[in-house]
Amino acid sequence: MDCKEAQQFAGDAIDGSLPNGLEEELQAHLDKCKPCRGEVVLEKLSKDMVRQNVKQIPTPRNIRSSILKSLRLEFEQLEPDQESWLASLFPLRVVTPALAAGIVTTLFFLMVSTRVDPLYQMTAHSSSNDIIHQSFANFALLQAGIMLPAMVTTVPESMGDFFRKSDLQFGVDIPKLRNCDWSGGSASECSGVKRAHLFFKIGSESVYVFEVSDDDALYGTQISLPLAAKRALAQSGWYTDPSHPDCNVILWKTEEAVCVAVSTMKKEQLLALLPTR
Amino acid sequence: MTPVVQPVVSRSTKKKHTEFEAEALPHMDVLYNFALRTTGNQDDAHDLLQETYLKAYRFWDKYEKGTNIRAWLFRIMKNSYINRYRKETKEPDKVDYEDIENFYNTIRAESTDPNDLQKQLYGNLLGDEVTKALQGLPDDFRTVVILCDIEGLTYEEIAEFVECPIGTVRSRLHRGRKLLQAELIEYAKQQGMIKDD
Repeated sequence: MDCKEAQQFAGDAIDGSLPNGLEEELQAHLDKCKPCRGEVVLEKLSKDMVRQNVKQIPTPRNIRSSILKSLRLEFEQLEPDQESWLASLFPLRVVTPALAAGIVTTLFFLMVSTRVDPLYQMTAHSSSNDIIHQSFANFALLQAGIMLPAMVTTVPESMGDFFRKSDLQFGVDIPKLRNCDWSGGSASECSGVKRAHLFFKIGSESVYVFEVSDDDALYGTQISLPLAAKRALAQSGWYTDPSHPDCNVILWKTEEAVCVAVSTMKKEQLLALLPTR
Repeated sequence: MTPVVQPVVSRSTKKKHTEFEAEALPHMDVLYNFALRTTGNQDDAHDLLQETYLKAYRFWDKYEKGTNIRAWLFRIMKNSYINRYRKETKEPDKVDYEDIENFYNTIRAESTDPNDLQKQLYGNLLGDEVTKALQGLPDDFRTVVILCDIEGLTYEEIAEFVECPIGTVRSRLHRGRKLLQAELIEYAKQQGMIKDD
């Protein structure tokens, strides 16, 4: 190997891209050629300088938000009849009970990253196995930006695919929230109980919905529900927890799941987001 | 209860949308960083990123499933950048390599032992200076340096991204780094970090 070749492959050596068999040749040349050794040092210096000083930074929240929004607008243009076909297919009364909750913080949604693992490792399920308690604990983790959705989308319904692939073994109820900017989802399993986590962003407000199968919620031993909630869900399919006077938690039941929405929104705001009941 | 049923009329559109989001959104950070390093400011990076995603969305049918999505998005970004920002400046591949080579060799001849240089520069340079020097590189060089040294892509990936043979990637990388060194040495001299011969 001559100096020209050695300098040509100096970068490969530094970047770990050296073609097979050239390592020894290059080394042999460098051992006897001081200028080429200097060349390698300089090339590495340049690479290190860049790596040390220019770090990858996450996309700023406002930019991520704006791009998701523009994609949604684009989608709506392609799909002008979105509202009407939904309305015609599902009389509002039957539409999956939409739920809303809001938090002032926009942290978690703006930090959304599809690269983040689902919540399998999350310590969302703390001391109590009460479903309401767990929902609040998860909500707090979301507010703190610790819990992040595994996927995001600007079309809430498209979460259906995600949850179908998640092997949850119950039909996840995906509320169609009015004016929802974008949403996200995660699936997790803890103590043998499969759980769905849904996130919705509506303007500056956020919504979290926690879902487990009705078998687990109503009859299981790993997760519990207050007796009053069980009764109300059996009677009307709905329950608002009186220990939260602001009405920042609402439970409802579908054929396969029990769902809990958590919010700091006032009752009126929350109900306004729901389809007519 | 199953998730909302999708009517026949819009199933394909919806499927397309879902696919796009699942495939394209995870690469936002890489693209944003590239846009930021290329344009040099957040506003332009925002515009470029947004344009890239919207174009990718509109041309999603053209994306060949199973191929490198990141490379595809990157090419859209690169073309958008050329159309948007480089209309009035020089075309790609029109960099005068000889000038660079000469410039670099002059610098190198003046400079001290590379090992000393390393000691002197290491830890003394500010991030801003390196960013600025990177910013000052001709586009073709900067692109490969960013992709290799910041994003950590392999030569093969970079070749696919910039649609050039690996040999071209190698030489651009080598020359880009040389230019960077020259800039940084010049700066270090001005700051008195190293002796000006």
